[in-house]
Amino acid sequence: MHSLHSRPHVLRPSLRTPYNHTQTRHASLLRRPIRPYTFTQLITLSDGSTFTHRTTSPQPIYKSTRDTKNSVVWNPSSRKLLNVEEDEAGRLRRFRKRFGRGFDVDAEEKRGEGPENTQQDEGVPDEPAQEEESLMDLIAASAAQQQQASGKKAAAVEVVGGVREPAKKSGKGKGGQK
Amino acid sequence: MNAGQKSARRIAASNGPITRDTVCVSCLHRLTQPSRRPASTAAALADPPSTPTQQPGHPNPPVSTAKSPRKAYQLLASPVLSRPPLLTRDLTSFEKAYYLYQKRLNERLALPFTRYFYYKKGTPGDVEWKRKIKVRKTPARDIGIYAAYGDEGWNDEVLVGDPTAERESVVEALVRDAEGKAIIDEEVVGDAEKEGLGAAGDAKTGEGQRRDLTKVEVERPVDRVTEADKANDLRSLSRKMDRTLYLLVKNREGRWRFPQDRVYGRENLHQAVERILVQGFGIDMNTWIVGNHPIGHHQMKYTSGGAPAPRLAKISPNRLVSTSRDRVEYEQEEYGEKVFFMKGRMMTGQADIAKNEYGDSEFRWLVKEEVEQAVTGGYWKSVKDMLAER
Repeated sequence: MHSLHSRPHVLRPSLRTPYNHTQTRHASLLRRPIRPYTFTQLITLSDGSTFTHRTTSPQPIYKSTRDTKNSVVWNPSSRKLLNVEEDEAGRLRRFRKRFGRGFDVDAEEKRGEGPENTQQDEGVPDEPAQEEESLMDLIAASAAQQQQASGKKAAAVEVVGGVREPAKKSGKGKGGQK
Repeated sequence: MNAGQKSARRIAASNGPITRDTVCVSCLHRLTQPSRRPASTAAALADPPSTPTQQPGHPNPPVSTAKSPRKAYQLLASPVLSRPPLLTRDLTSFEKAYYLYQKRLNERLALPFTRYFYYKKGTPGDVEWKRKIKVRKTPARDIGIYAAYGDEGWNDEVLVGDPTAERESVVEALVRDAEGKAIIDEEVVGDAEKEGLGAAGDAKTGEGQRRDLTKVEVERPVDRVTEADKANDLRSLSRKMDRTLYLLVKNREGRWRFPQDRVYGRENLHQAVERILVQGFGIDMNTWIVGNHPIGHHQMKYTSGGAPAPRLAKISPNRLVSTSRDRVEYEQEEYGEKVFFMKGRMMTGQADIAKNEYGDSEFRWLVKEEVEQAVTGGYWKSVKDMLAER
């Protein structure tokens, strides 16, 4: 679709040639490009930094929870990101929001591996309130108190844990993970 | 700089023992292995040199005694540690005007926004969308009130001083839109008054009432001008986020310089510079020294009243350089100093002047113009071409 049919250089007007040697493109129809409508959007990354960009999305602000700023690969010297347990944007956070911190590895190891412990999968937090208190934590804590009050050592806590079946009721439950 | 074998041989003949301080490694290998040499060259080595060409680096007296201290320049390494800019620069007024014009032009050239693809008919999102559109007449939020296909579509230029093109107003409009408000609160200016739906939250506008049950508060972006900028804290790394900051220290003589120290033992410049950063500022800095080649150099001769005034230096081993412990403390007469600068990048952390082992009293992170103010003239001439403008 070229319409430039003249030589690129310009002859000075004083030479008075009959031909105009400037670049010209005579009137011709240019089809309008089919481009989608684009907005300006503000992107907020996980560390709070922001920038604007053009996009077809009509959302004015996009908040990103998982990006290079909280990725271990892009921040190799950040010890906070290396620790999977404390990862704010990771899957553990989602799990903990739903099921509490009772199932944490730390809590499990603290209990020890003695036979008098409860079932291996049941997490009863010994320490007082963690950062994220959820309903599960409260229920589990109260159930643990009930157990201690009644003096039972190994019992199935039927209230908690709609998720898993009560595995082994025998006293020789292994304290570690399954 | 020395060039070639002849100069190395002259040095070998005239000065005392040859070490890495006076000749380069490859010349050193060649000169210190007499068994490989034929007899003729060995004799040539033994000859005292004729008048040598004047090199700035190595003044060669014709005769030297065995016990005299070696003559040399003090060899220093210096890290030019920079924190690169973390923000893009501000736009010029021309750029802002250009971008606004292009965005308004785009309104007339691009395909219309397909509203029902994103917001289905009758949904709350659709209602909200229509309410907002009524005020600004266009789906875009960053071009003010502009109707591309209306009667005023030709009027796409703004007056001088109009804040529509500013970055702050663009961001503010986006945040307000996210909060559910119209991009501007007050009544519309200019010709659009006649179509006149004034304030956004007006309950009487077409689509029905909007009850402010919940006020959505959207967090605004962090300001580009940080507290360190406002307080002009020259030690902060958060100052001047769109410029490169360079680390300077005030040495024991009271001069502002890039941190520097002698090169010890068999360490190369890269290793020397890493050591200097640790010995000067502690280990709480996450840095990266780029490459093995210097990016600049500075040279200074010791003179008093125009005549060379060599200083006697005692070089003791450095605790962090294992190869410097091969020799006990020795003396060297130095005719000046040569500093080689190495490029370093700062990622995280901060300098700690309390851990400094060189007697430096304070440090600063400065941009290029401030470095020029702080540093003396001769030093600035050597240094200015290494530093980035932005």
